[in-house]
Amino acid sequence: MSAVKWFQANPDVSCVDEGEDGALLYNPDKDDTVLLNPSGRAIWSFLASPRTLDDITGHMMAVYPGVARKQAAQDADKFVQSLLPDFVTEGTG
Amino acid sequence: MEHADSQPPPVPSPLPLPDLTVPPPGLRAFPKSLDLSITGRCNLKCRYCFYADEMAALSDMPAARWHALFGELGRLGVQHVCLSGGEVFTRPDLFELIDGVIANRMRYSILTNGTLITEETLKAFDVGKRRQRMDSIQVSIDGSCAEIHDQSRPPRSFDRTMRGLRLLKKAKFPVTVRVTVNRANVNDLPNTARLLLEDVGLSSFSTNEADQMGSARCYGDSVVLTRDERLRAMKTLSSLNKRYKGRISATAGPLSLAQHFAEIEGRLAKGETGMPGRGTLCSCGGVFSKMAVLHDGTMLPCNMLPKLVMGVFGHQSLVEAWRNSPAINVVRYRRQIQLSSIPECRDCPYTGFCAGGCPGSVMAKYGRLNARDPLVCYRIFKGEEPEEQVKVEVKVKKMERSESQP
Repeated sequence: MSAVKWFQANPDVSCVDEGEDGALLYNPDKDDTVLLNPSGRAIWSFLASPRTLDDITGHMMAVYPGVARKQAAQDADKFVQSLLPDFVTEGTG
Repeated sequence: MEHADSQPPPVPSPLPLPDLTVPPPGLRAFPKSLDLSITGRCNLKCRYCFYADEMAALSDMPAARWHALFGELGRLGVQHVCLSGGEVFTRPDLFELIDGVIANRMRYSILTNGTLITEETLKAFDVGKRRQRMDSIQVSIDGSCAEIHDQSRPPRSFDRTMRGLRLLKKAKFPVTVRVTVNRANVNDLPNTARLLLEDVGLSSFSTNEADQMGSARCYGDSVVLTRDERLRAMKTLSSLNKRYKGRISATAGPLSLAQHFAEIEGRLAKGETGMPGRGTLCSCGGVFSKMAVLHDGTMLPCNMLPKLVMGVFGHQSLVEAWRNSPAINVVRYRRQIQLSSIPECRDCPYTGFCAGGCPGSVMAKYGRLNARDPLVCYRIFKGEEPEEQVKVEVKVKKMERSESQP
């Protein structure tokens, strides 16, 4: 049985809502910022707890009911990969 | 009709007065960074300290209130704070405060006189993320030797400051140095540059100029540069900066002026009458991204504008003060004021190149915001200021001196 990989929002990163633009993430350890669009913002909140890619995919399908599972899975993977390792942390177990 | 004939029509105001409780469009919801004067205590007594009056008049906030402030800044998403004083290392709970900044997801920088820095102090920075989150630690150096530096400070300051600076450099801290040009060190700038860039081996240092505010006002003419000394400092620093390949920087003071005036002259030679973003009282953009909190919790647009009180942290909301306080909005709206509408600038041919100078400096000189700072005036630099105007400036300075003397 293989270990499950999970992802979580880096607790040192601050998130400030920027209205319709989404949200601004700031990593004070790296002095780096990232702007999230509104759908990215919705995933970010979900990552307050450790989540697997399947969890994130399911969450995206719940938030955007018309999205196909394959597309949601690709978007979820792209999202976490773009924020690793400074904004999102990963682990297994 | 009779009334209209006997009474002249009212003179229209040149600009509609903005509602100062409403921020300019597009203002950030909260400041990106804050200048925090975390203590009014200092182990030195410098002759040009702009904060001297506040240090004497106000009391330090206890740590609990600082932590409450850091918590609010963290919730807002503020990214950076600059810790100054007073002297930050006189606070016995300094590292507790720094940890509060870190816990609330911010970075920080420190301004210090360097005299209290020891190996033990630097070891304390190794704990947790204290080193990782530090952007810079700035030490003030005002001369190449004790004879020069200590003219602005108590005896033995130079040796202690240099020891602190060398310790910081040796331990690879992100150390920077600020040289405040004043009458005591204006002839020592080449030696100071050699000390800092060659002997100590800093990659760069910055400069500014002592102004007629704080303790400098108590020392009459002995601190602030004369016009001739400023011209000399401009030439010397420009020449040194060329020699050291741009390793000397300035956002204010003689070097900054020399760079700005050289740009004006270049544009004038091409027949230009102005440059982008000039022509109004727009010199300070800080109030659109920063604000300050003094050591007693007083919130200000800038710690060089102590009369413009936005409120007191804990009594007024910081966000509310940031957006809606007339004390900061009056500085923001200043950039709508055309320099040509200011009496002393009305007939100046260079207003298209000018931004009016530092609001703090103007406020300290005139007690009002909407004036230009004579220190940054190109027309005065060229010696083209009408004589009567220059006399007014001198008179204002003399009045301020007599007020400040016991």
